[in-house]
Amino acid sequence: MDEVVAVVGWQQSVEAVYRSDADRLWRALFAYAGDPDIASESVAEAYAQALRRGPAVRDPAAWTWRTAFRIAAGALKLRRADAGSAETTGDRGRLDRYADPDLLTALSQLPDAQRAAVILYYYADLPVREIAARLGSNGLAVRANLSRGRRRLRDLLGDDDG
Amino acid sequence: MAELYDRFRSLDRIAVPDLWAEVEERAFAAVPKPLNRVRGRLIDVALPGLTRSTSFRLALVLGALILLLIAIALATAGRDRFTSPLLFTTSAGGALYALDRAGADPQAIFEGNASNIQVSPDGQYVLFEGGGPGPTLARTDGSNSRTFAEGAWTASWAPDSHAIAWVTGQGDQGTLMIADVDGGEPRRLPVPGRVEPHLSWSPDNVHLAYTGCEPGDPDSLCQTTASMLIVDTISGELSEFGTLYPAKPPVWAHDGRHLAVAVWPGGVDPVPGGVIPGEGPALVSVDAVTGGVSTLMTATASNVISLAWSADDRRIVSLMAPFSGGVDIASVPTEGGAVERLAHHSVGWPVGSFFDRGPAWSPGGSHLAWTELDDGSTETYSLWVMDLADGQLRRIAGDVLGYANSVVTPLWSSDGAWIAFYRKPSSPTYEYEWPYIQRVGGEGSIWIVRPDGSDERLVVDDSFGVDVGRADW
Repeated sequence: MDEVVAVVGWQQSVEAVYRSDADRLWRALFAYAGDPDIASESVAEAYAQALRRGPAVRDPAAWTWRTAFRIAAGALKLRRADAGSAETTGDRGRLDRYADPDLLTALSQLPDAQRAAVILYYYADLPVREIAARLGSNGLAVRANLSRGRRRLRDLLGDDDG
Repeated sequence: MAELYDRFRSLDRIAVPDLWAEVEERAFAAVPKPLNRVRGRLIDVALPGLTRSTSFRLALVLGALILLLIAIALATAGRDRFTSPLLFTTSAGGALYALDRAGADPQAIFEGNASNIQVSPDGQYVLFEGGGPGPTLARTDGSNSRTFAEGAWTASWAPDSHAIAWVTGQGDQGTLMIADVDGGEPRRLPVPGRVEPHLSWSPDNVHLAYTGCEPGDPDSLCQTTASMLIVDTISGELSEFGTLYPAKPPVWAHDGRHLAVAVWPGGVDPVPGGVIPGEGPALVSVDAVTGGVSTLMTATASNVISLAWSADDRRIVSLMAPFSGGVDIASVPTEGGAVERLAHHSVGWPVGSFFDRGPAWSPGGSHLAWTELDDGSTETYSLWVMDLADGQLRRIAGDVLGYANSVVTPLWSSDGAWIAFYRKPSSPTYEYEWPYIQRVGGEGSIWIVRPDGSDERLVVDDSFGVDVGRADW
């Protein structure tokens, strides 16, 4: 019966992580990709994979963030390679009404690595070490991307308080 | 910079879709489609009101339960299967049977009159006499049967089961032979003189220790010129160790260098083949590399039945039969120190019965099992096991057949997980006459039990007419 308990327990654990963390992840991905479809696809696929892999995933929260960002990065590359597709979908405009359209536009002009680092730092409130872990990077690279991304973002937003 | 934090908080105003159902759907999509369809139909029919999330949980639970049941079934079947088959012959006709697991029917693997069964250490082969010019070698399932080498009646299996050594010839012509199990011509090892038919393989499957007589010794008992020798079965190189006259075949230590030998003092059996109160053999340790001989225990008024090394080679356990009766089990340190008596039983085997059939050491030598007369009885026996690590003694089965023309030795399975023993048939054909129990009919049943006394089972019933004391495992 231990196996049964373990399986059911794992599904409940993943769902609990989803309920507490998925909204924030989705919004971070939306800010990163600028596309609600990519955000939804990345979140759903990351949690589904966590569910399938079972307890081999030691830290479901960190694992799903890292996986979702990788999925989103892959989707962005595919979309850019597809010359016929638009940069964003129609939903972007609808969602922008609730968010900060200037911030989203400025973010879209950052390189992927800088954008991811900035979003995880300012929106997800993660320390550098954790950002590195969730992006599959290292602390030095994250600090560099964070520094450059912050400066570039300030320039784009005309923010000079910083 | 504080403004950047505030601007990122604007993201929190975006409504996020609930994707959990999509997550579950994707997780299910990993299941192969036919199985997925069956799962969906099963749940739809049986529990139509369930939500998708609940049905997913239920499917996981059911799947895990099925896996668990399969695992339990496999584990149970594996538990009952022996690592190598138990072989036995019938009293009437001598057909050879193999039993590969508890609860199965024994399978006849030789219909002729088989005897002198010798199963290889790995349990894959059996050598037995079956009416041919030499013993028959076969796999223990009866396949690949062939006549082995003529005259190889007293074969000794190498520990890796790949070679067999034996002594052939009579009188002054006793010679040492060796052959590979997988084929090839037997070859004679160039050793001088006559070879006594008790061979001890080294753990590395290279050396053979034996007792030899000088060429031309007219004494058929080989007493005056006997010595212990070790021959390298590959190079033929021979080492001789003085005038040691082993009372029993030497026993190699796990290090493959030292041997424990029970030797008659003065190099001569005081009363060949007999037993009188007096001086028994001493216990010595022989270093096969340097030739050094160390006396570990001086001669006592006991016969040595068998020896075994402890796992760390720091002790030798000696099973002895005091001439005054009973049995002693002693632990002898190999690097100095007092001999420790692990057990003494005043009532052991019937007097005179212990010279060629002794108790059984478990594979690896950690336990000793034997049959012993019950206290105060002249006909009922029990099966006993001693754990040599702590000297703990345990009676693990009663109403055991302990004697049938000679001492009946329990059998260990090759992995040490089981001990097989005999019981009298429900309609016994034995006559009891202290101290001997004369076998008239010769049949019995075979039982197995765990070394801790648990899980006792009947595995071969009376109907087979088991030839008691002739089985091997």
